[in-house]
Amino acid sequence: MLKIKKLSKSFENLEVLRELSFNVNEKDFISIVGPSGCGKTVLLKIISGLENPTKGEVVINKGVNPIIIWQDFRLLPWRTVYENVLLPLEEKEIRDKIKKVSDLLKFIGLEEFKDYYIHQLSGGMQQRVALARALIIEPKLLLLDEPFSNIEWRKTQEFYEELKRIQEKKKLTVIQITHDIPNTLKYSDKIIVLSQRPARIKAVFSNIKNNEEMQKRILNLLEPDEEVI
Amino acid sequence: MMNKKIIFPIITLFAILLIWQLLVYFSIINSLFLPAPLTIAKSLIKNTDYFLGSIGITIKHILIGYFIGIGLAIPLGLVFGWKKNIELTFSPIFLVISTIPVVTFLPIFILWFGLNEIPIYLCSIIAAFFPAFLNTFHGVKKIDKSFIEVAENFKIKSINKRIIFPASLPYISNGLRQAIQITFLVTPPAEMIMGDIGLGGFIWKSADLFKLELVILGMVTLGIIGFSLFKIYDFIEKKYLLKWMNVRKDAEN
Repeated sequence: MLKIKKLSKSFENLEVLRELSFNVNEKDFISIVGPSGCGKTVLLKIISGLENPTKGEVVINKGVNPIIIWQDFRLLPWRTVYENVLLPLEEKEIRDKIKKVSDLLKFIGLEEFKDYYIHQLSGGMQQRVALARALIIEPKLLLLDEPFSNIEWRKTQEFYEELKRIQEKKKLTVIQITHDIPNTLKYSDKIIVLSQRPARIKAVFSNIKNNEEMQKRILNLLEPDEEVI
Repeated sequence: MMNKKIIFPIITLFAILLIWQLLVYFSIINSLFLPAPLTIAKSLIKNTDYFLGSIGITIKHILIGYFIGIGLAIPLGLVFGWKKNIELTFSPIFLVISTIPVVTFLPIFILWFGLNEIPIYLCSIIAAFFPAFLNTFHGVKKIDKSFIEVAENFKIKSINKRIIFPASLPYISNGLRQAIQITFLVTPPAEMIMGDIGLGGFIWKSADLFKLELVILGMVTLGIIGFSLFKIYDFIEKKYLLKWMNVRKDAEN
């Protein structure tokens, strides 16, 4: 559903991404790992169309509207949970918006908090609101920018399980940027390892689940960089 | 607890009034220069119609000036904040005009429009306009750009309505509060200069006739009006404009 072809990005004299190419298939769960500040967030913005690449191209299937779940969630503080989730639908001409939002809030387990403002919620709950806001327009591709850096580690597991459940049910494709290596090994269909800036693709791994040999190789490759961080 | 909050100030107020009354009664203070509270109360009863009429006129001047002023200021502030070129072109002129003391506009307005209420309204409008305008303008410029990216990601078209306006509302509201304060400070002096109109005129005319009890009555009344206006504004802000900021953080789990 998504093809990245020799994609490069520079900001004035700063080269951030260099000739990245990879493919994403439907219902993939893809993790992008690499050192901090190597330009991973820029990559997500380019995929979503918020930034233009300097060179190369992003080819996305028609009708795929990639939605980003931001590291800092970016929920609107002046809106309630309900109103935040409604935001993407407000300009759309569809019936039963209210019911749609209510159903989704029920599905995500936020129903009883629908009238709360964002600052009244814990980090984990804010993240679920951000997820609900993205899911309300039924995107085919979800882009997660270090989704777990702002919540407790204990809740990370729960969220991954929930994300997997939603992915199956809604037939989602997920690309996540992450530093959480253990969970990445457990859940990803494909792992893309990026180098220091300007980021190039260092390695791509598939068939990782339940493949200890492969997992060891990935860990070995990541370690030197992890120390740099 | 609530009772103490009300009772203590009332006791203080009565104590002050009593001491004041006694000081005048025993001629420690000359009643010609500071009339006693009871004298003021009596004068209020004698001049009720004139006094209430003046209050109504002053409140009318303040509120009409305020609403026209902020009605112009908010849209203009939003436009200046969004459009860099408009900001560059006009903001120096606006900034210079905004620093001119508002009451000094009065003579020129009187020459242009005559001795009527229009110059007072214009001063009230200017007084309300600049704080509301400047705060709105700065609010829009300080918006967290990340919210705009969110809206773009969802392909939202009316970003102004859904993001920029609500995101700058804390600044706008701050401007609206300053606007009511400054309009309130400017309007009665403008009335004084104009002469026989509103509470400002009431105070000036009473001083002319050396009726100090009416002067003090007018001043205290203005104090009460100002206090009430600010309280009403606080209430509206808390309850409607910035409701979200005033909700307690109590849903942690």
